[in-house]
Amino acid sequence: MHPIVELYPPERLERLERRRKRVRLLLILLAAAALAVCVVLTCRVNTRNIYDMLLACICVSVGTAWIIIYFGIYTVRDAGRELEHARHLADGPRESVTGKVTLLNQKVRVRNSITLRKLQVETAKGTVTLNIHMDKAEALRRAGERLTLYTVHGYVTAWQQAEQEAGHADS
Amino acid sequence: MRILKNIWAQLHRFVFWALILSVLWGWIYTFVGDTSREKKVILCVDAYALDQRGLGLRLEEECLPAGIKMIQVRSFGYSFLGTELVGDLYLMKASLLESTVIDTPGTLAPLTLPEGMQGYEREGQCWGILAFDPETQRGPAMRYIQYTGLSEPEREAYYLCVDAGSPHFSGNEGAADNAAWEVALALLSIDK
Repeated sequence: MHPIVELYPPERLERLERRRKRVRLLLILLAAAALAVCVVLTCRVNTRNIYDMLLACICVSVGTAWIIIYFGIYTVRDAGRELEHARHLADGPRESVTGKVTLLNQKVRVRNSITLRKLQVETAKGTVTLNIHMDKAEALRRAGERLTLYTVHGYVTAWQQAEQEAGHADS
Repeated sequence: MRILKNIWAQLHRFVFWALILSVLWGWIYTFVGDTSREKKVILCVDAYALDQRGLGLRLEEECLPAGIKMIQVRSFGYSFLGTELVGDLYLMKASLLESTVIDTPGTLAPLTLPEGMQGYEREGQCWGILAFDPETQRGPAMRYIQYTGLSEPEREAYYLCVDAGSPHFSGNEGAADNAAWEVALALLSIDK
């Protein structure tokens, strides 16, 4: 028997949550530091250096805003969405399907949630279309063609390499 | 590559916040870089070209009267006279000075001409000190003020005048100090 590979193991979710909180705190500290720098620069203004100080304030605040936007979106927000998605799947009924897996090039962008990728599983009973987290789809491709996928509400939550002779679907 | 792709995807947010923050800081600095009317002397110059910041800094170097934190130099035209955008000192062409004295009496303060200086006199009173003489082509602060237009062959004299409502001219009623006059004398001595 091949091992079951969980896509949302609890320890990974915990790590993600910790990282999210840490980055959020860092971004708040960065914003506070940038504000403090701007206040200091503004307090040092005189007629001679006013335009230099204005430029410095704009550069500091815009640079900080860009960093906050980037990490706020790609670290804090995305991690939050993934956690939300994982929590939603945690309590759902788990099903399994075995067959030949084909990853489709179809992306599904769910509003205020994660980006998904569609995949098809060819079973003995027919073809089943499922969803998988976009970032985890590549691992599935490397795993091979015949897989047993564990799903909750149509989302893949774990996979296992199927035995060669097990060529029929469980569900 | 992925970072660039992410940045490209959020480009609208980056541009939006850059614009918002630039406008916001510009707005904040209009207050930071200014001070109350009592603590600044405003020089309005009606010239072809003017280095406002350079002249302001030079005047502050030359003479910053007690109680004054800033000397502000502004570009102005005839239409500004009588509006809220008044200054303490005006450096204006002879034609503008003449029409101001005739058409809007009470705008400018009568002056006591210092010794050795020429002025614009009308009805027995002096209304402006000659700053730029078209005959000699000499005037104060020529590094900062362009007195003659390239396309205009006719050259006019420039006079330095004081606003009748300036709180920084001792000749005016209720004036707090004589800072405008000190600045006027400092201006007339720059690069002359």
